[in-house]
Parts: sequence; structure tokens; C-alpha cells
Amino acid sequence: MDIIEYKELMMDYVAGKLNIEKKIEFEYFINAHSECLKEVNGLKLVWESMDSNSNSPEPRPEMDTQFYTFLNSETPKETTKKPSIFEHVKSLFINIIFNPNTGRLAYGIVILAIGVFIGNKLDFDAFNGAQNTETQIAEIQKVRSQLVLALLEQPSANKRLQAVNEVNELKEVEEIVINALFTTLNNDVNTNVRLATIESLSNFVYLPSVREGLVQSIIKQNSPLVQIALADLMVGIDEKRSITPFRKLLKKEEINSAAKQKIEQSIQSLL
Amino acid sequence: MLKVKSGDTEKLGLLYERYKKRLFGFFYQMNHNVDLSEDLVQNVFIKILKYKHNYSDESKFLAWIFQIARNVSYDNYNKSKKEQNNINLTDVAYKIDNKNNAEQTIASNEDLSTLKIAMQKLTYEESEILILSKFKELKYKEIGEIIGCSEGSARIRAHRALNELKVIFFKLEKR
Repeated sequence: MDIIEYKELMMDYVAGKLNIEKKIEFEYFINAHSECLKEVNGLKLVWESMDSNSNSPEPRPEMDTQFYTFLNSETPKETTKKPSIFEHVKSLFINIIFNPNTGRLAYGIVILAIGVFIGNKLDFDAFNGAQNTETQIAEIQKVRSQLVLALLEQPSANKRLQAVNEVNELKEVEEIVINALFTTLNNDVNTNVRLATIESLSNFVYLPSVREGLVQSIIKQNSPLVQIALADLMVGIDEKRSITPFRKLLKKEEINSAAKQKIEQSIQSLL
Repeated sequence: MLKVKSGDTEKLGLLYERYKKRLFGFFYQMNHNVDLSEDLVQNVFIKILKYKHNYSDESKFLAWIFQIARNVSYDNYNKSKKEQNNINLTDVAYKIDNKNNAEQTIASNEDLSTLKIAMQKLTYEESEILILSKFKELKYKEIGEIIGCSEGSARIRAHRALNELKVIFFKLEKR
């Protein structure tokens, strides 16, 4: 190492960003040059003092509220190209009515949805256009929540998958739906359904109960695909509480090697 | 981010959860004001949506988001500097009572450590590069991308800033 390389590497050394090999080489050089050692020690002292002085407070929950209000206000603008509510309910109706495996409850709910929709249509002139649309959306959301709960009970995996995908259309989710989703995530026999459930729950990670539920669910998962999806999500939301259940999962003998590798990487990212 | 770019705006929530603390920490280190830092974090995400088309899958997301954060912070710094230049004598009298006034804070807060005082004596650019260098995930290559210079130049600037901090720090310690 010469003086030019010493100057190049100095900041990386002080900041602890050098790899072991370079670090040893650098330390060997400064120990042989007392002026350099003095300079580095001075800088290191100030740098390390910066650590103890850089304690920032945590952002307050109000920041989250402000952000999610903004996000909700932006989302409809981005989704204006989606099919209208009428088209969506119609497609749901066709999909369910022509499937022989669908339960009675699902029929009832769809008919109720049509009833609500027709009722609103007939009453259309009595309302202001914008108000009417808002009411319709709220009612459709309510019906959609009921539909999700009904479909999650179906024996057909396709129906349960449909239920989980319906959750993605909900702007606000009721606690009963969240609980049903966690029951599915922790107990459903079908891996695809469980994967889709993780995707749906990821839309509501701003709710503390959802984050908590996801962390608790880690240890209950046996499928490597589900374990990997949860690892990705936990890193995505920077959920450090997931480290302990992931470590427990790593201790299981039957753990898949790809899942093991992914979980180890995720723990490193979360630390 | 690529999902947000393709129109799946709701995925911005995941990015927010992942980066909010780091961004807040960056802003707070720069301005020591919780309210302002929270607003600036919000501004970063508004700009992400506005400029999402500029993001490419080759970009390192952390460097890209900090590039936006840096611009947001710099705009705010310029705005407050302009406001300070425009104040008249009445405002000066008001500012003396205002807790947000940096100099007044330095003088009145006895608990403020020597290093914090030294940090506040650095230029905006010097503080910024030191705060960015503190992020373990950011190499000097990315810091260069964020502040718009080469990797080598970012390293030299960081070295100079730390040297300057050291000089001020030891001067204050001798008093």
C-alpha cells in the first residue's frame, strides 16, 4: 500500500466499510507510519463520537396516518382504467352462478349484491351523482367483505383463491375478514391459497394486528414457498420481530435448503 | 418499485414501511426538527409517485430514494435560508424567542454536546456528506450518485468534511 491508496481507503476504514483483507492491509500500513496512525485515530475518534450523537427519535404514528391518507387519495387516480363496479359485480355474478360447486351462501350474497345495486339504480334520480357513487362503493365493499367470508369457507381451492383475491379490491378491511385471512394462512391445505393470502395481507401491513399476525404465522408454515414469501415480506416492511421466529424455523431439521438460504439472507437484512 | 412504476400504487406502502425510518433519520440529522422531518419524508413519497417513470431496474433503489431525499432536503434548506434573508427587525425580535432558531438553540441548550455544536458549524454540504457516509448500506459509489459526483470525489469530500469537523471539535474542546 502507498500513500495514495492510504488516502483513498481512509474514509472506508474509518466508516468500517472495508473488507477484512483490506482492513488488515490498512492497519499494517498505519502502524508503520506514525503520522498516518495519528491522523486516522483523530478522525476515528470524531467519527465514533458522531454515532453517540446521532440518536434520532422515532417518527410518530401521525406520519403513518398522513402517508396512508395520501396513498389512499392517490390510488383511485391510478386505477381509473379498471372496470366499473357494475362490470365487476356482473363478472362475479357470471363466475359464481355458472360454477356448479358454489355454495348456497355465495348465491344468496350475489343476489343480495344485485338487489342492492338495482335498488340504487332505481333510486338514482333522487341522489346527487357523486354521493350516489360513494354510497354504492361503500355498499359494494360491504357485500364484497361478506362474499370473501363466504368463499373462504368453500371446499374448492379456486373459490378460496377467488376470496383472497377479492380482498385486494377492499379499500378498508374489517377485523373479521383479517381474522379469516389469518385462519386461511395458518390452516389452509393449499399452498397457492396461502401465498395469495400473504399477498392480500401485505396491503394492510399498516395495521399493527396484521404485522403481529404475520410474525406469529412464520413458525406455523411448513411450505418453503410460503416461508420465502413471508421472508420477502418481512424484509419489505422491515419487521425486526420476525427474526426470532425465523431463527426457530432455521433450527427445524426438515427445512428446505433454498428456504433456509433465503431466511438467513433476510435475517441479515433485518439486523 | 417496479410494481409502483407499472401502476400498482398501493405497493408504495411497502416501500414506505421499509425506508421511512432511514429517511426520517436523515432529515432529522440535517434539521433537528421532528415535525419538519416527518413532512419531508411525506414529500419524498409524493415525488416518488411523480417521478416514478425516471426509475429503471438498473438503478439501486436506496441511492435513487436518497437522491430524491437530498433534493427535498436541499429545497427546504434554500427555502428557509431565503426566509431568513428576508426577515426584518421585528422578525429578528420574534426569532430570538423562537425555539427553532439554530443559533439560539446552540447558546441556550447546555446539554448540547461539543460534537453537536461542531456539526452545526459545518456547511450544509459537509454535514450532508457525513450523514450519508454514516449509512452502512451506502458505499461511496452510491453517495457519489446521490450528490452528483464521482466515487473518488465523494470520498475526498467526506474526508475533508470529517477533517473540518475534527478541527472544529478539538478547537471547542480546548476552550
